Amino acid sequence: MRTAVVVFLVLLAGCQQAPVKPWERDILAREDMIPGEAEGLDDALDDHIYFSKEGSSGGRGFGGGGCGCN
Amino acid sequence: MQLKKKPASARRDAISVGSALAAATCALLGQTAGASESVEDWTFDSAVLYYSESDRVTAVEPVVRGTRTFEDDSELSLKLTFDSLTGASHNGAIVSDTGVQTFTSPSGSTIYRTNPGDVPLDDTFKDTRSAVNGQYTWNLSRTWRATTGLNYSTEYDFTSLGANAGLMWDLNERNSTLTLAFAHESDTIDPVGGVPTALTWQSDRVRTGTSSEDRSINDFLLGWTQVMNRRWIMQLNYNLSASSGYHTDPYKVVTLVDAAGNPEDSSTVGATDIGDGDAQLMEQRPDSRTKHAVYWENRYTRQNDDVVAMSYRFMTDDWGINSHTVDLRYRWKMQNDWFLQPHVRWYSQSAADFWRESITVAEANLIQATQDDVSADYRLGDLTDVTVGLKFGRELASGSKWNARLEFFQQSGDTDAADVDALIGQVGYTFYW
Repeated sequence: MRTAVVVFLVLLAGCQQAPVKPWERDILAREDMIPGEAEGLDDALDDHIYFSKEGSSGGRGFGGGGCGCN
Repeated sequence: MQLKKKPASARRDAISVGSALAAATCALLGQTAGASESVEDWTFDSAVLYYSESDRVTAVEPVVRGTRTFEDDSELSLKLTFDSLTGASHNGAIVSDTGVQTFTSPSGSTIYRTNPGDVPLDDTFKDTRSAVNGQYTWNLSRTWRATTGLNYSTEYDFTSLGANAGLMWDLNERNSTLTLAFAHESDTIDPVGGVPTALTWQSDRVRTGTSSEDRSINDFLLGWTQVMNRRWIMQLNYNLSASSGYHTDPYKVVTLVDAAGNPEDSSTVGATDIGDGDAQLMEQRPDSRTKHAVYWENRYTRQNDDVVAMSYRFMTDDWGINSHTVDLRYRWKMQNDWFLQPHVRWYSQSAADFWRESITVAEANLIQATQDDVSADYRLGDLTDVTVGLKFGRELASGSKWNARLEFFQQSGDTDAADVDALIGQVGYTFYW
């Protein structure tokens, strides 16, 4: 398992091309390309729904004031 | 919002530090969060969520978030959420094809029955929740940023207070950001009718004598956001969550069954007789839980400007639950600043070690003697969920934006109680002020 994780991270690092310069970030600067921002309030609302209906939570972020629904 | 009836482990919106991670990504991209707002203006994101299950819970959740970026590039975000909940919730008992089952309400003041073939639902609750979150993020240097936040949430039988703090470090010509964050949350659970004594019979209405229980949660998050190329960005997070205290759901029971799987009467175990099929054991969960989650998100813009977003999460915990979540969205850019976005989510989990659909007399005796954990909550059993939806929206000439989505959520598991269908509707509006 640990080997697989290391291999995955190395492959991921290898996928990165030459550093993108500030003047090349027109596409990346769009709101729909920003993790955590692209979907607006949907992420938090979805996390709340699925936290209430499933046995899992977390990963995307944490902290935010709960409910006792699980 | 509370889509299920009351407690056990805490709820986190994944918003506060999620926002900070987004802010970190924005810093990495050389811009301020909330792409098009001007400095020292407020950006308001608002939405109303409607969630409705067939024959069970219906929730309406309005939320508004104000974000302001200051001249020094620091950012303040405040969020208010309200929940209104009505309907009925599965109480943990089996779905029996043969026998009537009898239960007491959470307060113990009323008795209700479930007919053969029906999912045992407790329809005696109605709830509202209010939550407020505040998060502040600021520059420590050209490449380091810090964030801290508070959150408070209250409903009639649950209160939560939390704080978080984190650091973000930009490196590799701001093509990479590493995030390190911690959060602490303190929850207080005040069950209606008092705290039931776990592993006693519901018909006996045994209470611990205390009016409330506590739980604390510590979270750690390590994040890596990486610009892969001009069109591709990814985020990889590891989240460790350790909680201790009261995790039991005080309103859930486990049905005692005979050898044929039919609900037993309380007289079988010498408990108070309130009707047919009334041998229902109050559940008990472990007093701690440690969860590990790995989350990987990718966003890619195609040559035609459409955006593909894919995420995967693996979660494992010491209760024996392992889960996989895959989420896929395709944002189709149309003329006149319209977009159309199909969405598919797939989720699968294995059952907790202490999950049982029901128990026999011998099992109940053993569990009571050893004070072992047991729960029949379908959310801790084997589960497969699918969500399919469509979102659309438009940016207006003023710069404000609106959107709407409609989704269908379907759950299935090893028990009939796990078969849930729900409709998710939402409208949202973003404006500047």
